[in-house]
Amino acid sequence: MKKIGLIAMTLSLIPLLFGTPVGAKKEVSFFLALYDGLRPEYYQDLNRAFNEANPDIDLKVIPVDWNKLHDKLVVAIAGGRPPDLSVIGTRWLLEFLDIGVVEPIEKHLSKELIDNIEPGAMEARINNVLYALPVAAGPRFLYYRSDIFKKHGIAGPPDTFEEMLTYAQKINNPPNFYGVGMSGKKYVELTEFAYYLLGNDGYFFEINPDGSYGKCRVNDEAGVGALTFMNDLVNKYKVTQSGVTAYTRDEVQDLFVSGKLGIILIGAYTDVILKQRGVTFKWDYGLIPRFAGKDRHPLMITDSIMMFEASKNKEAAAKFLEFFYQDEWRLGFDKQVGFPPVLKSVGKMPYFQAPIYKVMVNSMSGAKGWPLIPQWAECNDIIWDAIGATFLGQKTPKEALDEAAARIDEIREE
Amino acid sequence: MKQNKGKFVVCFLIIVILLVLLFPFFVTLSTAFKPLKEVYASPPHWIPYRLWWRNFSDVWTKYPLAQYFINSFIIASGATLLNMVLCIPAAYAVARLKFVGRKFLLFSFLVVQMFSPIIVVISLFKIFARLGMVDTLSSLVIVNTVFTLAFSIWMLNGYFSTIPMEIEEAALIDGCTRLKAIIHVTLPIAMPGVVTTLIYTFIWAWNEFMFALTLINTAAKKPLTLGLYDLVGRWEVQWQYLTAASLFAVTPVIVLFILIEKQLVRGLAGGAIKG
Amino acid sequence: MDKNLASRPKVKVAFWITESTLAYLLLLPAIAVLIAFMLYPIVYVFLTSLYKTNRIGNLVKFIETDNFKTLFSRREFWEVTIRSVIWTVLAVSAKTLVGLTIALLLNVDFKGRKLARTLVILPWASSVPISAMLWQWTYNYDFGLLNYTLKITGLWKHPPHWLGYPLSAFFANLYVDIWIGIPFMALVFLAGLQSVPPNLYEAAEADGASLWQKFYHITLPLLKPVLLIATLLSCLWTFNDFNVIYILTKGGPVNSTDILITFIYKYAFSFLKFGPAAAMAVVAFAILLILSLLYAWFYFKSERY
Repeated sequence: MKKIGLIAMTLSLIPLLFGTPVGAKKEVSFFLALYDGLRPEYYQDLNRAFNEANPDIDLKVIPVDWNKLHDKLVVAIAGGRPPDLSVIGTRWLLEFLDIGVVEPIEKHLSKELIDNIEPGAMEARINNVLYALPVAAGPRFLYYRSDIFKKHGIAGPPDTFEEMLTYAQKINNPPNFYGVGMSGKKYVELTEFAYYLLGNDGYFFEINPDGSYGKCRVNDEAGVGALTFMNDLVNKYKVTQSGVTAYTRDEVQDLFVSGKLGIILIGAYTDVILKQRGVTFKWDYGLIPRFAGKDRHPLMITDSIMMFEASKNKEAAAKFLEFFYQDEWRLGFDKQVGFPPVLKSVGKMPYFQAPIYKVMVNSMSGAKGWPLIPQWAECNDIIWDAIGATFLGQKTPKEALDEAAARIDEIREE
Repeated sequence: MKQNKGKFVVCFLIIVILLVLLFPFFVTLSTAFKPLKEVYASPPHWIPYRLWWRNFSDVWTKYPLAQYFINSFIIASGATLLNMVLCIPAAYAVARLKFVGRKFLLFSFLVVQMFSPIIVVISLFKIFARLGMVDTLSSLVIVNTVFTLAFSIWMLNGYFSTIPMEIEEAALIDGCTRLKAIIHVTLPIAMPGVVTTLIYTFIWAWNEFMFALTLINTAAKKPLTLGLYDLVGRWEVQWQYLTAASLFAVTPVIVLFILIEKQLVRGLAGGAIKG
Repeated sequence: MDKNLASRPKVKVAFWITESTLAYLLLLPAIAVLIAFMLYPIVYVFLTSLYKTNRIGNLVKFIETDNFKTLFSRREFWEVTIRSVIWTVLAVSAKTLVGLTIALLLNVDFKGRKLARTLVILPWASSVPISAMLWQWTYNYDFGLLNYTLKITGLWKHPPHWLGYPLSAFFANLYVDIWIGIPFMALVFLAGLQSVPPNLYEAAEADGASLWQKFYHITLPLLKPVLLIATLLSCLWTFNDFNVIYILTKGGPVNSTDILITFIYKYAFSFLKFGPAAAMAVVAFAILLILSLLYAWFYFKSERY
């Protein structure tokens, strides 16, 4: 069997090589994820400017749509041709580490650059080593309709989830207007559940004294409590839009932007969209609530730039990162994508003193990130199914989470 | 009279079917003429407040749509051409000639069709990586040919088989060489089949996505299927541009179809048998 | 039809080339290309299913049929496989029936036929991912025009959240797959209908045959080879239709629209578990192989008469 495979492989080598000519320039390829709002001119200029300033390096910025980035990386890695650098969702770092393709980026960066990074964005720091360079931080917070709140005599954003429920009940006005938005359609990020889980002082896994992850604890009191609360919002109090399992978080966002929801828990880009679409209603934002009596633990979601171990031009790649992370380029990037700055120096600039950025920065302190385990993608999938089954009434929260936890522990044993 | 009533019924049925079938295209049309804010009007409405022509020009100026078109065209035509060159002789052999292993061979072509691109994409990427052909349009030409070859051979085999041998033999008796007989007699009669296969290959290659995603890196080499994904963001989909661009994207296929439609519907012309 | 193949005298091109040799010469380019590019991937899939792989897809340890054993013990695998079969049977039947109907209608000469023929091809003309996205937009409960139209025409007062519930999501997905596949069927059948000699119909009419009799005794038998091939290929493609389901529902809600191919994708690309994914690919292949063998038996049987 294998022999035939080898013969076939040899046969397939017969056609001539249309290879790229070997030049004196060091080639660096960079998979840049296409962020909403990031204009092509930005990265084309970045590409050109760097190449001009470094004639011995040939940088290629390769734009890839976010939704397809993971697939493209998997094929490139499994196919033996990873890029030198790539933007990644930091939660992917562990699965790539597990494969052994990650080059710890700390080794190649200057101390100044590393010190300049906001501590709240250091999700890719594992055991005190920075494996990937934070490129974007996506804080989450609560948007609400300040005009509707005022009409009902509510002063400001809710501090606890219980308050949120009370407010939602007051402003709930089906079928045209609902209190709170909830997404129940399986999506890459588990954020909806994470807000409630972390707000209930829960987490996905027990943390062992040495920092490693222990048993799955989504089905403990905190976890079941969080999911029960979410389910009650949907099915008992009915303060959410109907058919939650048909909505991804983008679609919930669309509902809010078109004026049909009073409260949503979502990220920074919504602010940009609200302004772009010229909405006429009044809105404001606050921090993600917590459950009464629990500490506030916001969710930290960052994207990072990762260097591949197979890269042949690591120094050149690092040079590019130093270039990219100069204040003016980072400022341009952050402005266009609407995220808070990951660099301290940029954070001090006047543009970022606007109130929304204060909220964003606040929301990043004390934040917890996703569990850094290689099987996280599968755990993510399992938990989503548990949530969906609960919303559809197929299982109770406890049943669903018990099954999920058992299954997760199983796959971690494998 | 009866014929006319029959035609009327047929016409009516076709209209109903088309209305149902083309429903999403009406949606696409409606959306393409609205600015993004209006796209999200709730409840939605069919007729735009104003015909927002700007979307149609924006997709060309804000995105390198022209380049994507050219790339798609190169890939699709290349694949179709290569496919025809390989499959016409092959299909003829299978349909007309008797040889050992004919059934096995025909069946094994089918086996290739049983594998979805998803399953083989990584291995194919490895092959192209070894050949140094990653990020080339020629890799996509080859891949698209490979995935449509088996189908083309089977389809053409079917069409060739429906043509009676007598027609070719008549030509041979008249003094044609075999090759001439094929070109001047068999192929013309099989034209509907050839053309169907041709258009199928073209459409498959024009719309192929997975391999384009993995094999193409440079933005300037992206085909349309990949390029249109520029409009699908992580937080927001530019529906007004996506719909406008997709309307442009289907145009070449429609044009091609109109051009070859004559060939497609030419039946077994009475002339072939009589003459 | 092909009945002549056996009774014909052997064909000769030149005295040193036999019919067999000629055949292989003509087939060689196609075979060579297919082997060069598909042999390794197919072999690799089979090998991977028998090995434990690391996350990068390299074969690590030969574990024989362990991947399969794990697979067969999971209830989801069986659900997904059965659903794949149901999905394929329903979709292909619908596509064939509707495609055949459209082909028959378009075979009639009426004014505007050329336009109709061109319009029919539209669902096939755009790439599946883009079509799926446009359908996702159409199915949108709040901003999509489908529910809006259903409501205002009174056809359906309270249409569902199409992609939010297991049953409606399954049929929503099914409809899109059928929708995309209809033009191909219609086109293939139309071309086939074109090859039917019109004098056969004229003769039948002279004998007083009804519409149905003409269809059943002339059209259908002559269309048989084309029908067989088209439906078989459609089965193969429908079974492996990944993009529609993945974009519309990602297999949800709660795996209720997952078919084998989306499951394989999840294991390979999301979880990086290439071993089980390959094992599932082998199972899918086995199912399709059995189906094809059945078809081949029918096809070659009809050839021989």
